[in-house]
Amino acid sequence: MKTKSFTIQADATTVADEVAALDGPNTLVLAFATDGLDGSEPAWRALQKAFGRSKILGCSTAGAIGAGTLQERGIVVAVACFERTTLRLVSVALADASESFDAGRRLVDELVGEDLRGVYVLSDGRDVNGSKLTEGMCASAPTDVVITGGLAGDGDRFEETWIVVDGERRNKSVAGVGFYSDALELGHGYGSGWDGFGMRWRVTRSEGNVLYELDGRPALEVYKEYLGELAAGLPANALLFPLAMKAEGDEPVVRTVLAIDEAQQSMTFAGDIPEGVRVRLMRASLEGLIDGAMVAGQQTSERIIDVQGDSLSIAVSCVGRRLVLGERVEEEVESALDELPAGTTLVGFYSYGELSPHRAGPCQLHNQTMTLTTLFERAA
Amino acid sequence: MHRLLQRQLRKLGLGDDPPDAAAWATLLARISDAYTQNDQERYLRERAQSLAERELTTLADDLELARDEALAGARAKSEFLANMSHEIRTPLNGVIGLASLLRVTELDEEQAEYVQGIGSCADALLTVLNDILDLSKLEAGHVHLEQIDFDLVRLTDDLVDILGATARKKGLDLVVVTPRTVSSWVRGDLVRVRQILLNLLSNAVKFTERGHVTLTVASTEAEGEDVDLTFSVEDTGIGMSEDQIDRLFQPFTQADASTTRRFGGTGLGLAICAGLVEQMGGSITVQSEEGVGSTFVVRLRLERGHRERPPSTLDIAFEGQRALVVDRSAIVRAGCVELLSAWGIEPVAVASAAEALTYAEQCSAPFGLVILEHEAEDDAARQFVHALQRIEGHADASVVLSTRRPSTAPRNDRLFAGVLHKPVKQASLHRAATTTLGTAPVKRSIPVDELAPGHEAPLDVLLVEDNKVNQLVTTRILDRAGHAVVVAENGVVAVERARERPFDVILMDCQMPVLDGYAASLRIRETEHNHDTPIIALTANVMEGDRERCREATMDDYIAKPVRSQELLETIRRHTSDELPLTLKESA
Repeated sequence: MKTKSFTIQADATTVADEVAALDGPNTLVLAFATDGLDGSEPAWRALQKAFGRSKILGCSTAGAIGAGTLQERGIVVAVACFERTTLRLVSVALADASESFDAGRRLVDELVGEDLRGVYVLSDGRDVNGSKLTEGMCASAPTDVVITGGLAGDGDRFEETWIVVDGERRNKSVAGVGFYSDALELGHGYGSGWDGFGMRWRVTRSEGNVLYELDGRPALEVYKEYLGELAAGLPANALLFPLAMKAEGDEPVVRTVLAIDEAQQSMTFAGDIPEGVRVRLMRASLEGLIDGAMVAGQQTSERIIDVQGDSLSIAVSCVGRRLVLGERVEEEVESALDELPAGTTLVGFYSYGELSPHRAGPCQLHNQTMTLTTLFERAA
Repeated sequence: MHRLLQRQLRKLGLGDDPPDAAAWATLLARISDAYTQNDQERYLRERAQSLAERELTTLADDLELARDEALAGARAKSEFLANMSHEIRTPLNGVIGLASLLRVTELDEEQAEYVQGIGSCADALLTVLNDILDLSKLEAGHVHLEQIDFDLVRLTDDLVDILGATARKKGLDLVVVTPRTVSSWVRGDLVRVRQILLNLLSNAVKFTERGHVTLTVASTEAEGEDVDLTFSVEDTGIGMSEDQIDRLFQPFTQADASTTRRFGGTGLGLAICAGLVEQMGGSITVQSEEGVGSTFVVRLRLERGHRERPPSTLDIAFEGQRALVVDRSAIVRAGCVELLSAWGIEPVAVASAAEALTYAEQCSAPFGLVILEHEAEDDAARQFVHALQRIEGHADASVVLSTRRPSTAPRNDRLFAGVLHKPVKQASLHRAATTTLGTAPVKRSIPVDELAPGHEAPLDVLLVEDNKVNQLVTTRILDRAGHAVVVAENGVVAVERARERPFDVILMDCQMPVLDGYAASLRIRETEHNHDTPIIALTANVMEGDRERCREATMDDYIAKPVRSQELLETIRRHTSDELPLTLKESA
């Protein structure tokens, strides 16, 4: 396995020969635009031309990670040329978000095959229900197939998100690349850094990702009561106070507040909040988040030992973390990178939802986390 | 240094020399951010804590409310149980009463057998009802213990009274051994202590075919006002195996199923005993050997009685007096010796008349009292007295017979000072000692146990009872005992009668139309003629608090329905004789 990463500017028309030399049927080209896709058509065409035989998968983002830091402009590109792994790229289109479960199932159904080790998924971040998509994928996937990935972003505007499959931009779509191999090592890690505080409430009324009542009281009223004077900063600072959601027997997952509705006293989240689960307020310190990224790095590294040669690590971190960390966002990237095997190529993006298992178990939709997927091939 | 701060320093190049001013500014900004975050965190935590506390308080209030509702529900259930118990008892009262009246009418053999059957079925039903009520109260934690001063002598004599007839019939010696060291007056729940001992003793009598049943009471002083009592009930009955003992205190089990068929009973008695003993903070243990017998030991810590023992009974000094006990049973002799010596009498005990005479011949010091076992319908006792009186120094001996078969005892024979019925009650033995040894004018030939309660002075009784059957039953019992009865069918009529003239005793039903027994009692207390007449409640309610209600209504005692004649007459006697009655008023 050989890997390279670089940043291509939006108006660039060529790709350096030394990376283009990696083009081949089992080469994966991951491309993360630093924001939306407007104006970057030349760069995508250049990639398409240079990697005619490769599998090209990309998306719009809320910020791209390359060269160990957050990139301001252009498209961050990682090229991984596999030697003992076969790749397949599949995409599925949806009419609307209600088809998310089926889309997830169809995507994985198409990829399931002998030696399938893992699937890396990119999805439209706005018109796809990430919770249902994940459930659908898990419904089809054999338990030993690791599914990771993320939902596309568009800065922090939540207007229009895209995925790019073989040079073609699409929304209302999901795409996944399957890795078939008996030599591929696939590590994944997940870190948060948020702490719960206060009472644990029972969700007594919700619909999809809209939460109406906690313990029989209007959700927004309860939320504001606990924030006290900090509630004056809503809705902008809602990002700082997500909820930890825990179903019976499950690990808790974080849910970011996307919007609040004063009239309905409801709150909309970046993932479903089913009735009956318990939720609790969360908050984070910047140090906590930076430490969380370190945890993700440690976890992904635990699963891949004796790395020899090139390895590729793909980070998906939440747009919320980027907003909270502000100018210190690069610290979480560094913190994760510190834990990865030396020489690992790290690329990634800020997303509208992270797809990863917890330490173990099936894939789940996360908010407010940093997830890492690390790939390398054992020598023959 | 914190590793994150180290990272900052490394990043900012602050380890370098000379330090960069901009880097310092950034570091300070980072540190300031950390302070701000800290403030925010503290604010949120404190706020969350106070809100959580408020929510917990609300939750606690809700729980309290839920608890109150649950308690109200439990109370409703108890009341239902009490009402049901009342509804069952009232007709049962009629059955038992009428059966007992029927029994003494002219009946042929077959009819008598049927009546006997009705009576024992009704008794069995009553036992089951009482046991189930007790057990459910115990299991619901609804048994509230009362604190009443009571006399252990009275208690054990009562037990002997109740079980004496059965023991006599089976030819068993029932003996109470009470060493002189035992504190006579103690404070506790008399009714419950009696229930425990009665249960153990009646089991012992039931499961013993020959030999004896003894109740030994021992006491040791405990801390402060407390006294540790040990009641041992020993029998020479069928005994139990270890397996049987293990299951003994479980409800609805007897030693084995065949026991139930052979001996009857609900199998709840010992479970109730164990529950009551536990409630009193005591212990109950058992030792047993199959075919040899069983010993149940109950240990209770009670307070010493607040009241002094009444000086009129059992305290007359007999210093220097001697008594001779003649009885074949060693256990009977031991019981008598303990009692007599407790009263300062010097006892000598022998197993036969011959031994007694030999002893008397060798020892000229006179016996003021001789207690002579008398079992056969023969002249042996008479011959003994003549022989004794011929011996020098023994001419004046007062001989009291003790017998399991009172019918065989000679009557109106001036040769004997009296007759004691076995099992001998402490009070009876004491009366025998007083009559023969005491300083009071000696009344010879008074049969100590021969005065049946019914033959005492006739009394004027006001019976307040609305139920016709109960009126009939109770009136008949009182009639037979020679008492005169005036019946009032409700509280209002009762108060009218009480205004007209005095009564010796008033029997008061509690639940009646128009005016209930509690209210009627209070009004009777205001009448000229009957303000201090003993009022005995007749109640079908036996739930907790009924005794309390009776007491509040200034009643003197209560009898649980169904009324049984012996209990009724005995209670009336207690309240109308000179003996100190054991009443509701005794509790402090």
